[in-house]
Amino acid sequence: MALTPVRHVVHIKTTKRYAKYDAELDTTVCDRYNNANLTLTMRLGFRQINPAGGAASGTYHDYGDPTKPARTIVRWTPGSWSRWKTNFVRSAQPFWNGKFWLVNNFPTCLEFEDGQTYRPNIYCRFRLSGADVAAGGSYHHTIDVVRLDPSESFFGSHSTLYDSNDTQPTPKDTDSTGAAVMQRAHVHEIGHLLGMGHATQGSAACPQGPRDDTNADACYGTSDHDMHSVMGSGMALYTVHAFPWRWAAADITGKGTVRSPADNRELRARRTRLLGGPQPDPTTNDWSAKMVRHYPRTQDEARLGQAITRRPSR
Amino acid sequence: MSECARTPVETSRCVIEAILRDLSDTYTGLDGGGIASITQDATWKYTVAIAREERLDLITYTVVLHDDGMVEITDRAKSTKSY
Ligand SMILES: [Zn+2]
Repeated sequence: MALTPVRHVVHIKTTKRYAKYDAELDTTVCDRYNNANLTLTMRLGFRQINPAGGAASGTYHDYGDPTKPARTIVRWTPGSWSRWKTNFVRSAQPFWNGKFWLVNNFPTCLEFEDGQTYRPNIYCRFRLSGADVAAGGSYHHTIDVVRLDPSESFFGSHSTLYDSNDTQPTPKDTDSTGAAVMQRAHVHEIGHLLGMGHATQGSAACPQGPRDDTNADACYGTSDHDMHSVMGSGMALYTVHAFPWRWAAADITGKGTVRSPADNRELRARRTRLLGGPQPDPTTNDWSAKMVRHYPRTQDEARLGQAITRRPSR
Repeated sequence: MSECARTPVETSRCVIEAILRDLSDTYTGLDGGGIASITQDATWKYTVAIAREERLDLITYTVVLHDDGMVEITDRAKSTKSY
């Protein structure tokens, strides 16, 4: 079958800078097989925490709180520091990169001509960089990092204070089958830095009011599904985790409404309280996330609501 | 007089042992730094703080010491201190 020559009509890259990341929507890559790319770029600035007074070894307290237990730390060397930063980025970036496709439900939005009119979806990409704060530059987030002595197995980390073991898989919880739920803490922390809360945040079990603590145990999930979530105690990615891309897609295109997973849960919990009985999930279908490739659609395919998940003959 | 009522420290020991036994049976978290502190908040109220990533799990026990030296846990409440 003869193919019409590929012809791009739309050639735009739109970049927006947000506090937590930058977002670039690139339609120059669109053709009848390829969607627009939405790349979230997060620049982390890492800062060494070393033992006091230039010593080779010392202590640092959990969470950086001097009233909490001290752990033995050792001085970073240029080699260990460089390896740690590289390993962090090399393992966290692929976890979040290229996992979601957002279905474009807006007629005319991003549409282009390539023999006929196509409506592209959005492919979600993630670029993470980790540089040394000491080298200067601008960062979305600054992260302090302690290097744990090999005798230590735990350090109390949080979203801007990591330890050298945070890239290692650690058992966090036990699911209903008795299996350990494992997590590499840094991919969870990137989820927070992308703007996501814990697996059940916003639900009745984990309210998110100003006086509520959204790090409470129940917020990491009690069902197996929530417990295994990357924003719970596990490593599972679900479509709700496409929220940062969906939000940026709506903001850049000016089309659609996207609420965070936590805000959706809160809205549902509030409606349940007010109206009684189970209430439907209020998540909008705008830029709905999929975890398999959805090819660009012709206007007819889009009008019929078809999903093109196998490479079509065009 | 029961062993547990002999001195204030013996009383604390009995209470803390009962709390630790309960904790072994009920606390399911796998990771973390273990018990960071056990504090006496009131005469018959103790809080165990367990270091986890991003937070301390706080378990506050209310207990009664019976004449026979048995410690009864009358309340166990979970809360969190976030970081
Ligand atoms: Zn978290």
